[in-house]
Amino acid sequence: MLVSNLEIVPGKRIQKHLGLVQGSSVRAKHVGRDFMAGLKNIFGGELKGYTELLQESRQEAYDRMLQQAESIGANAVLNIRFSTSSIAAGAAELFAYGTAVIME
Amino acid sequence: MVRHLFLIRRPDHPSMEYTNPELPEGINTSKQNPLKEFAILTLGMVGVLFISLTLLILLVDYFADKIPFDWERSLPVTRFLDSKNSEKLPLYLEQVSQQVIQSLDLPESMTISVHYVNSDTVNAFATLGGHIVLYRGLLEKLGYEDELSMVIAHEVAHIKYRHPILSASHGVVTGLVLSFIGLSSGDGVVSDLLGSVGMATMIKYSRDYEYQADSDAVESLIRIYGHADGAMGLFNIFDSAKGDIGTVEFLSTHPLTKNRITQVGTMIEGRNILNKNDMIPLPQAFKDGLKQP
Repeated sequence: MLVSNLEIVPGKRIQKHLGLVQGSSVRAKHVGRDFMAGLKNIFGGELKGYTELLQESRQEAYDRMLQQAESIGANAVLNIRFSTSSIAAGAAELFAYGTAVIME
Repeated sequence: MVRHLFLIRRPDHPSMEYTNPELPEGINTSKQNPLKEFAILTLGMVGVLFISLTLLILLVDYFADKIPFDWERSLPVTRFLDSKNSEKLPLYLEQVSQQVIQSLDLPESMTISVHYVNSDTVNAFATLGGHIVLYRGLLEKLGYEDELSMVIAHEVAHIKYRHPILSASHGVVTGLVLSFIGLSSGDGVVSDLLGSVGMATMIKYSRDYEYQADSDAVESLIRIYGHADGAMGLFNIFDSAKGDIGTVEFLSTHPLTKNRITQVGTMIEGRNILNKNDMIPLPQAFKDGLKQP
């Protein structure tokens, strides 16, 4: 599966456009991680727990998007974008979307 | 004249097809019934919290017991008493209290202060620093010195076992743990649930304390009067005053009167000391003094 941020892939022809595919995941960390992050907030530095949280969330959303693309028979997802939003205190949504296509 | 018809065609996509096939469901949403997860989370949370709080309270008990009574004594507890209605202890009350305190074998460092509050509240309590507060409302309901001694002995026993400082420590620990979890969850409903679990944990201890205090108070009565009719008399007064019908023991701080009667009954059973109609009536002068506005 070819995955790209480009709208078109130079030198390749798109045979079939299959529409929007998307994946999303809302995740939170456990109390201990939240507490650690709260402490780290006082001293500054990287909130490693939250970096991990968003990384996991992004991966999950990405995987789900690809799963959708596979299910409709695409062999490439183009023009991929990510977006994020805060859902509740200490929880974040990661959203990935792109256009599923069949390429030569 | 020949008109040329131009077909508009993208040169790089000469034969591209556009479709929007239907996507399968269940990739971005869970197929699992949310109730199942809810049940697991709730039961798990309640269980873990109950066990950890119980363990933590046991640990705190170990340290709270080491707090010197003198230190507890220096707390400005009496400041919170309703000073407007707080009166000088009637002499008779003082005498009965001394008799009871002596019968309970308190550690030497422990001093008890008995307070009398002129208020309709039907209550008596023991608090930090060895202070016992008796309300006129409760004293008015009593008919016998034995019953009065039972009330005082029960409260003194609380202090003897240092229940006030233990309860206060439990409150602080439970509050800390709950606010730690509750704050980070940031949800009012979850915090409420956690609060109820904390309450249930503390109430369990609170009830154990009541039974312990009852048990010592009964021993004290037997030592003073040779029988424990005062305890039964007092519980009967509670029974007729409130009526425990419909209350569930698990959710109330004091045990059901019925269960307290059973406990005391078991204690005096077989000791051949149940001696009816042998209680000392309260002096008329004392009762008249209570009725004054």
